[in-house]
Amino acid sequence: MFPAHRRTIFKIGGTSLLLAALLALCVLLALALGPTRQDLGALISALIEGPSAPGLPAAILWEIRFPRAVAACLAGAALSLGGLVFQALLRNPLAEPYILGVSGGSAVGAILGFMAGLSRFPGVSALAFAGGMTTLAVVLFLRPGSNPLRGDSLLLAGVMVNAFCSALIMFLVAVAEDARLHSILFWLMGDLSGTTPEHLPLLAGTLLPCFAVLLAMARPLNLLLLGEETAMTMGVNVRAAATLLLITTSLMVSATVCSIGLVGFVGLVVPHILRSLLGPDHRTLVPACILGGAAFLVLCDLLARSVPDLGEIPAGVVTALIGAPLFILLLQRAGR
Amino acid sequence: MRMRGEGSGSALLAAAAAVFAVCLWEAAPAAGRTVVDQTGRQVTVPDRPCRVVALAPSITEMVFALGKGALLAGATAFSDFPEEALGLPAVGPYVHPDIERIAALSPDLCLAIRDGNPLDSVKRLERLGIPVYALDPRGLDGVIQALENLGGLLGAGEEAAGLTAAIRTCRDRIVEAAAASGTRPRVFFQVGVSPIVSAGSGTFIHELITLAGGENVTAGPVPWPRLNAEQVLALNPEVVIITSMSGGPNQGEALQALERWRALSAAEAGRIHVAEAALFDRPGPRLILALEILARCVHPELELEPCSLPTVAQSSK
Amino acid sequence: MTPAVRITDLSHSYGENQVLLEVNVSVDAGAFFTVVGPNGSGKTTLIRIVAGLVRPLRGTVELFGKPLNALSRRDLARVLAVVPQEAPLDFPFRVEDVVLMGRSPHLGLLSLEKRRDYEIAREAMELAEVGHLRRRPMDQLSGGERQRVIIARAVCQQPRIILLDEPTSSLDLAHQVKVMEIMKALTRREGITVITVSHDLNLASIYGETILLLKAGRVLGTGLPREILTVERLEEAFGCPLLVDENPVVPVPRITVIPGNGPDLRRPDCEEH
Repeated sequence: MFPAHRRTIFKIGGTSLLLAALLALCVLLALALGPTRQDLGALISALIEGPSAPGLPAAILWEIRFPRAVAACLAGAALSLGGLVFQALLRNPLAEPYILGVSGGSAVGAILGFMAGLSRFPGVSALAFAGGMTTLAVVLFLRPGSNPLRGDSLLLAGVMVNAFCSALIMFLVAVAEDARLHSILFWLMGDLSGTTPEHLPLLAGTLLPCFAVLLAMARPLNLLLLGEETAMTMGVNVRAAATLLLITTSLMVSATVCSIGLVGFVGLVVPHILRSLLGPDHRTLVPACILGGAAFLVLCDLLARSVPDLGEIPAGVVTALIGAPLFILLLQRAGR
Repeated sequence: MRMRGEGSGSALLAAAAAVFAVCLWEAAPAAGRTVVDQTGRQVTVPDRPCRVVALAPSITEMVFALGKGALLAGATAFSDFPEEALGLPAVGPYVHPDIERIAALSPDLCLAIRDGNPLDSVKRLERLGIPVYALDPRGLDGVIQALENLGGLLGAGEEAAGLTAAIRTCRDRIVEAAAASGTRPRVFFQVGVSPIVSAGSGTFIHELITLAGGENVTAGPVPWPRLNAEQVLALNPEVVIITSMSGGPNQGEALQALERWRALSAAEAGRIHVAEAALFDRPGPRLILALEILARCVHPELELEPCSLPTVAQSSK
Repeated sequence: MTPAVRITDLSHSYGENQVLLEVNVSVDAGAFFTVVGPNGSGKTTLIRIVAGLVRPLRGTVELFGKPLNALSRRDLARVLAVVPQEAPLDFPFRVEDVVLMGRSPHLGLLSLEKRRDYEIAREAMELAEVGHLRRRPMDQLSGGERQRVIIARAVCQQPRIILLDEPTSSLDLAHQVKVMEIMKALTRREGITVITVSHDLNLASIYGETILLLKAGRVLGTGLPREILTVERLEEAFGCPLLVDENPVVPVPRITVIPGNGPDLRRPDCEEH
């Protein structure tokens, strides 16, 4: 058997490799399949030739399917990581990335953008981002005190802000023009169809540094699970760590939401599935959530846009339809 | 130790950057001319478009009305008139068209509608090198203009002229007759059952009501005002018109609405009518038929000659 | 020799509630130091201040000559480890994972544990007698086993001082003794200074080499069990009748409560009968 101190590296490396392979497979599937049938050979040569390749399959590959797959990867990773971090920070297995009110604020901002007739990028996205950051600031402001994590009050503040925003959203939806309504509803349920190549650098540029920060914070995340005071006595500057984690994760979630709307369940289900398979060590879980979350959303999005005759259903619908039964299955397994 | 996650993340970023840098894939400029579409945009369209995608059911109807149905390679969902349109490949709903399905049809021209298609969809199609000509058929005048523009685009100039002339004639005849009647009955036009939605001043329905010689009781700045039942009863219109999709699931809804208005004086006078929604919803060539129906409801006493629109044979080119 | 902990003129209050008042204590290196006193005497606050969890309003704390507030959290964690009364258990780690976390103050943010760290962890688990439970998840352990795992983690930090807040309060007799024996071994074999807060006067008497008696935030006395655990001092501190005689097993005082109407808790000091 391997010496003990090598086991962790092997576990991290091994699971990451496996999940990376799974992700690669899912991405290839997402590039090969879609609502229209394209010749596989043409797609492959278009893939090899690169974005400047001429012809229809290349256009479909590089203009439509590729940006969408990349966005699904980034968003799936971000949402899963968001759920993982909030579950650890708040020590609550029901936490998910929207729990601190980021979703409510982003939605309000986005709807206002749609109603003003702005296009998805940059108009609606910018407003969604501003909305998300505003509600985050409100939640943190409502929870004053030196320790941002004490008790359930942070959670409660987030729930309240989300509830308030939900009411605002209902109101806006009720008064919105019919013409805008569809765009709004699709966005509210998660809409990856609006991703264009120009989206990607900004999204990647915002998310990838956040991933890096959270990869580095894996050990403090483990320690925080032991309790704030215990973590302090083990050398973690809890206030600084919690603030950094909170801000990084909220930034990550906000950027994701303002690109693809509110896709639910990914942030709740993926961390739990991976935790039940791989154990609670965040040094394994953080890279696993990045890769596994990406694969999950890529797959769900592929299903969402391949429904024949129905056009496209929102990605959030598929993640819920798949995620909820999976979650229940997990709970039953754990109960046994 | 480099985490695997970071590795694949950097690769994705590099690829995305490459796509961004080499982006804006442009088709070879097609032989064509630059025109100004109905919303004022400059578009380069092919001289003789042969694979056209209609991005709204009203546009589908217009193309078929001009006899150029054979040019259509695809249309958005619910393009159900005329019957030949049912066989066209669907490209998603007009409020959320599926870019990939449209692109896969290799169209050389897309016809969009200003009120309904998302601007983002138009932009994405243009980025793929597909010219998009936007129509804005608001009201009868808008429809007439749209038909003329389409005629020029699709090489159906003569047919367009004939069709628009017939529409104008019919309209003028109805307006004259209505004006001569001397009365302007108060009309309540209901487009939505639950919630109750009516038409305000800026809409083409208001225009139709006025042309038909009626007075729209819900005239006002709000384009699609919502009312509760009390307000309708208080308005006490003389004529009520409810639109429903005949034969569809909304049939039950329309009957429900009828029930509700039992207390109106219009009910006793038998002046509550249910009309075909497709005629009133779609700003297409059949709008004139909607006007005719409206005129008959508002002024049943008038003897109106039925409007006849020229049937244009579908040419194969 | 520099004392392990020197507390000078320490005062602290929560709002208007004065919790500690001019406390002066000196703990020798390698001592087994027990803090006793009634509820509200400030025992826990004292420990939390030494652990760096609470900043005192007045006074100084020095660890091996260095002032507490001059140490960063990491440096503090390398000198001092804390065994809390209770640990939350929302996500069940395995025993060896928990113990290994004790190495964190010695590792960089991104570095992984090396062979040496695993050896230290193994030794700590042997010391705390939880080696055979290495791969067990924490939620499958009994209270006593869990407590020993936490002690192992504290030992794994390789601290010079270990603070324990009522380590035996929820343990059965056998486990109580076991934990105290482990603590004793730590002071003897490893030279670690152990400071514990205890409700159990008899355990404190048997194991504690030095006793600190607190009442209402003031020090009533510091010294050997025989000196501090006297009837007069204890009744003054706890305000209820007690019998103090010689423990038949070990030559230390034995404290027994005298049942009856119980202490008169309305008054801060009860009258001598």
